[in-house]
Amino acid sequence: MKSETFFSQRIFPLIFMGAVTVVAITLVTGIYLLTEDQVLRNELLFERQAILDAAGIEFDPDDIERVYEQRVTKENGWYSVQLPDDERGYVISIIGAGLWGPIEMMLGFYEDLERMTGIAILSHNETPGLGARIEQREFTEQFRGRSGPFEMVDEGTAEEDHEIDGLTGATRTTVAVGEIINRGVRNAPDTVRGE
Amino acid sequence: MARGAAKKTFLKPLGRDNPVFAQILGICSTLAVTGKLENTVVMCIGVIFVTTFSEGTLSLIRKWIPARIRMMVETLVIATFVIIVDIVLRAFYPDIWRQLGPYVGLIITNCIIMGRAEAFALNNPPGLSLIDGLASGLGYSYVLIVIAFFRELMGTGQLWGVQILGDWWTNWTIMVMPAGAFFMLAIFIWVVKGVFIQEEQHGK
Repeated sequence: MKSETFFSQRIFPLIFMGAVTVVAITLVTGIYLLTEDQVLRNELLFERQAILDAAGIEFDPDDIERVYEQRVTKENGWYSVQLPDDERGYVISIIGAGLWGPIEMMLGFYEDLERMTGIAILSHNETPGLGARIEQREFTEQFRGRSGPFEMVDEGTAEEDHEIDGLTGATRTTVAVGEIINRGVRNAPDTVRGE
Repeated sequence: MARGAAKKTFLKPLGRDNPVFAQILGICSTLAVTGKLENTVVMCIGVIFVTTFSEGTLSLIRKWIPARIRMMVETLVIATFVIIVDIVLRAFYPDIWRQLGPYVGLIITNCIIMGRAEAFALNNPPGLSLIDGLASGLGYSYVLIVIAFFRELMGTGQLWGVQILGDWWTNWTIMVMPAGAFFMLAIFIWVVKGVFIQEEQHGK
């Protein structure tokens, strides 16, 4: 049987833990460095896709970079977009409180900064299957070509131009999204044209 | 003998010693990620990868791990593999990574992995430990996939995001909420214990 010396009880565990930690960190750091560029590229691509979506510009998923370069210029806190009919459009990013956590969105406007070209959800923490449906096209497409402020109504009952179909089972998420978008609509002229 | 042991090690976590319905381990993630089949499958692949390789690695170094710091070492090894899964998903499957969110990181706290490391990998050779890890991961996975199948189908009328059931189907909203997972898991355990395991006990 092994004798319990001071070394085996106190020193060796420390050295062992240190060695295992070094190996683990080296491995993780190596893989992180290998994939770092890819991760950054994914994030950039996702943001650009959201901007194009919000501006209502159609694009091929493999062609996001080129379409973006052609049409979008980044300004101070907002994006200037050349819309398909050569009109000028604007996209602003906005963040607000959802039901479970912050919801980050891109809001797109025509030149008058009232009529919307569309919206795109960047990130959220809403309930999967319920509130998370705000990501789906059936919900986001409703804003295209409409002017705010919007009123969220029960799913399937929207009739007036300012009424948006909410999501059944996700009332609080729907209301939160409505508030964030309405705030964005209100502040859009200030954001783009300066204080 | 060796082959017999390997086969036994492989089959036990799939049946009577299943980590989810027999040992009731890993419930947190069972409840959290089974709302959509696609997320569940990705999560399961992650868990299988982590259980297999962390058990294998721990078994390789088991003779040198000092007893009093073994849990620290186990956690560190498991965390390393989990972070690898997280980074790889983030780089190559960003959409799924975004949906799974914090749950990938939470594989670290999945009781199955820690439990199998403690109970099996520290006392068995690497080959057997790899098999045990793989089988535990698979045992966990098929239970989750069955639960996710019913939750997504009944909750949204879809499978893998594709509409399956027609307009006549009313979505059971509760199924995609966390409470739905409790019901599904309970029904699953009830069926398994009532139909399969009970017979064995009578036979004894």
